Amino acid sequence: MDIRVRFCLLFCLGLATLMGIFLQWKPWFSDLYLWPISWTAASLIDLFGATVAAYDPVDQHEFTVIEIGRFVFHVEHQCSGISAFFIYLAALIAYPADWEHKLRGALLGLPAFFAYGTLRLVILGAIALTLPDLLQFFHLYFMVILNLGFVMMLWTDWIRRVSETADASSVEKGA
Amino acid sequence: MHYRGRFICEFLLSGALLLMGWTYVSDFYMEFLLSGVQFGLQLTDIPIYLRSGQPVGQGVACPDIIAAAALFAASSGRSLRWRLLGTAVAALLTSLLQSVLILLELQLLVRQMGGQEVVALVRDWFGSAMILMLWFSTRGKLALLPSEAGEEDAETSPLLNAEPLHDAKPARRSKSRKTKKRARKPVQDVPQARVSLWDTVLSFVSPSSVRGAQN
Repeated sequence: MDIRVRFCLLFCLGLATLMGIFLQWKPWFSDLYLWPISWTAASLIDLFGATVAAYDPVDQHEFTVIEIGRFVFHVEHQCSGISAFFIYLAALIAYPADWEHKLRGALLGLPAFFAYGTLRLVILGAIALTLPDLLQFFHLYFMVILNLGFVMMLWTDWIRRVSETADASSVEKGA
Repeated sequence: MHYRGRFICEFLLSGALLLMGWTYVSDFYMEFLLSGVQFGLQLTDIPIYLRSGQPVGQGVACPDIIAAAALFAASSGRSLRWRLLGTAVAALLTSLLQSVLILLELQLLVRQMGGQEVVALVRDWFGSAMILMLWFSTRGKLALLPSEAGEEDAETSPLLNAEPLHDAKPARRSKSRKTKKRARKPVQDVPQARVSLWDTVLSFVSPSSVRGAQN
């Protein structure tokens, strides 16, 4: 089978599986991913002297709330960048490489996406405080576009590392 | 600048510029998208008429197309034709996906079935995913491992800004040496590249693979 067709099939299958896992265990992702990101972002914004409050509504797994000044943000799962992380994971799984490399890529990707999700919220908070007119533009468009850019940057970097490792090992074997 | 930084800077710059330009074409795109949905509604006999500006079409149209255009624009070492065609194909596929998903969402609403949440999730996740797949497919034999690559052409190797092909100077070879090599090589040794249907479909964006086979 053509390697690209195989990649696309595995990628769709992987992403669908991850979507199923996400839907099945949404409360778990809310507690262990969404809330920590929201809390970290609120803490970082607090460092800059803004009035911030973050809380996790009881019995509500769809969103958390961050209040920055007069703005109230409902931080949903899609705001945390978790979809981008799952796309990255599916691309790792589908790409033809050793499982060791894939595991390493996933383990390095998790903190990277956590930091990215946090930074997104901090930037949106900063924009809300300083340039509120641009908030919609950044929230609905620019930050959404950035997701794909971040995924591609990490994924292609991982591919590069995989290729370099494979090249190095083939040179060693040759020597 | 490190290639990662360079890529993300180019991507963001392209995205920002394209978003500014998008304001001029968004209405036309929305009309196009909704006409597709309307056509689907007629086919499925659902008595709904959509007008542009309705919430069902808003907010779903823009980011994926702009993200695709920014991605193709920020991929270095490729021709302008490849970037434009890649963007056009991505826009077409994205609009098709969006139309189908809006139609599906309306179907579920009209039939009072659940599952709108899943459709919304599919729209969020698979828009970007489709662009990634398209980019991967059109990029050629992306950074294959040596064991996988076999006799793949090194020129089709990776990655965004990782290897700016246009920066590389082509190696000079003397005419006599070339002739010598040609003379030595028997006809049956010329590697026969396979041309699959997939290659043919994608040949407009990565013509090198097909050209290689014709030679």
